[in-house]
Amino acid sequence: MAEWANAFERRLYSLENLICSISLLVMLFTVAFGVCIRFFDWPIANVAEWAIVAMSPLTFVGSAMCSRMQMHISVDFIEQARSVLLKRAAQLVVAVLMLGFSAIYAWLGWSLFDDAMLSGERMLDMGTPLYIPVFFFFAGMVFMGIHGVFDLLRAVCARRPAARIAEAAR
Amino acid sequence: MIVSSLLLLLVLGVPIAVAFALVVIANAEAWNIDPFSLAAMPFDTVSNFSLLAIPLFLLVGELMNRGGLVRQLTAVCDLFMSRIRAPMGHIMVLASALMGAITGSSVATVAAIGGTVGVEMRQRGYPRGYTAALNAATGLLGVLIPPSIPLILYGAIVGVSITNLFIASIVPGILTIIVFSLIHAVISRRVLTGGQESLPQAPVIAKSAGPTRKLRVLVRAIPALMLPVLVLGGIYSGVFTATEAAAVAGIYALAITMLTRQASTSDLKKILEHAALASAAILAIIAFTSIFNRAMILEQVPQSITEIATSFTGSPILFLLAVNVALLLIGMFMETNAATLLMGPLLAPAAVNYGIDPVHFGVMLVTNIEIGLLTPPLAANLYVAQRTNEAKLTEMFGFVMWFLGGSLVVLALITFVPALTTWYQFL
Repeated sequence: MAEWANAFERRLYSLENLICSISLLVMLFTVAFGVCIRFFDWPIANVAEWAIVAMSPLTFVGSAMCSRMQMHISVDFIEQARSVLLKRAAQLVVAVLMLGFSAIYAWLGWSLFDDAMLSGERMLDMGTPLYIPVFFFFAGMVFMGIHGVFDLLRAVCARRPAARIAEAAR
Repeated sequence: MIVSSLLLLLVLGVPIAVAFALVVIANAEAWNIDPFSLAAMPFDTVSNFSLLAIPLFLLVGELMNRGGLVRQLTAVCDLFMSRIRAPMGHIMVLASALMGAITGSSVATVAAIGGTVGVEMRQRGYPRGYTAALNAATGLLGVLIPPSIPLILYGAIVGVSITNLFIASIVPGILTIIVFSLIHAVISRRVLTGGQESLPQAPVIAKSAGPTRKLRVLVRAIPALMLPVLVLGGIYSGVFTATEAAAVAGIYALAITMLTRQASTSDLKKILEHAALASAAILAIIAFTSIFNRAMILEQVPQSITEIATSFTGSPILFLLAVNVALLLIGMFMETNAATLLMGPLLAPAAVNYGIDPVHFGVMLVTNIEIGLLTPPLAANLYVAQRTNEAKLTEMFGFVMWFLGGSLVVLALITFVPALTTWYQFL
């Protein structure tokens, strides 16, 4: 596959990694800070709400990371098969299904985001707008879809999945 | 039809989260599921404070691995267990029980122990498949050793004393520890070269090490030993919850790692990346299987299974047998907390009618549904252990069968020897 495509996917992965790493740090520090707020009875709203907000990017943008690295949890019967043809056929079917799944959920995520924007709903403790975590649901599914397109192209061109390319490079 | 299409997708290698979601999407119209809720449900499911424990404990595991805390802990365990053959497996069993007493959650226990003790086991020559299988099985102790989230749910919804449920689950928990340790003692002879662990790293203490050296190992391990003290002390003194304990443990592990300069900035980036990948893979399953759970509830599948199980017999023994079979089936397809919330109120009144103690029944029900975490297609413990131990499912299945068999023996004992759970009533 063209070098530009690989470079684009690598950059997209770096962005996803940055979002998820920040989410993890937000969870770690806000939950711990929430304990301090309660223990010392500080007059501050519960910041642990941001930890719950961070669950959305970690789950859905993280799912896109898993797609890129082929790290989704799956049953690996086909991988044990000896027939290369069978493996390629399965790779193609999985790529099509993943793309279909991401497309459906990107659309559903957009509907949810649109609804959250229109309703102006906010979370209880800090008043964080609900559309922020919902946006990451939508973004994660779009990112997953982009990886899905590249995976499909690789399957059609009978190339190895992205994670294996990275593995071989190491 | 639904089960066969689900199995086909799984065999093809479609990610588990995606396979469950696709089956529901394909049947959404037949099940009267609103397309909007297909998106809202996964989002709502993960926007949950108690689920934060999973990524946070995974992060703690990564920090402990790379920060050298696990090496220090295993060195201490070696001091006390070096005379036992294949000690790391026994350490995994005991450490899971300890984590169970911290988290109350099976999946969180698997994640935390797999990321720490699992790494050391692999370095000592255990095959990945066996390490992951033992890790997945010992995760059951996360729920059987009190506190236990599913037992709290059962007690709250059925109206039984949660304290009594916790006391009742102690003996089954200890039984499970003994059974798993016995299985490990037998299988480790086969999986290890020469039946002995290989000792790859420095912290391992020779059996003849002098008291000064042993003391030095203990002193060096103080920061690592303080971690469970901090977590357990914090939870039982009421300062923080299990989820908060994960965050406090994470800050502590991060501070120790930075202060002892065990990890550079680029190592920290890698730690965060690994923890994020492992967390996302697990959370995606929890998020997208929630719609399948809802579909099953809407279709009244659990109710139908219960009806069949309770309609044909007047004997309490046959009733318990039928309920166990039904629950094992349900545990294969439903998440633990959802299954407990659904099956508890459905079955507990029938059990009381048969003269079965509701506390005894609760422990049996939760143990049974927990075993479902080892049985595909919805086998969270297997998948988390696979991810944290970098094993393949096919490498795990052969070994998991042993532990599944052991769990079923414990379940049979809990079911047909009520005194194992109701002993406290005779005190």
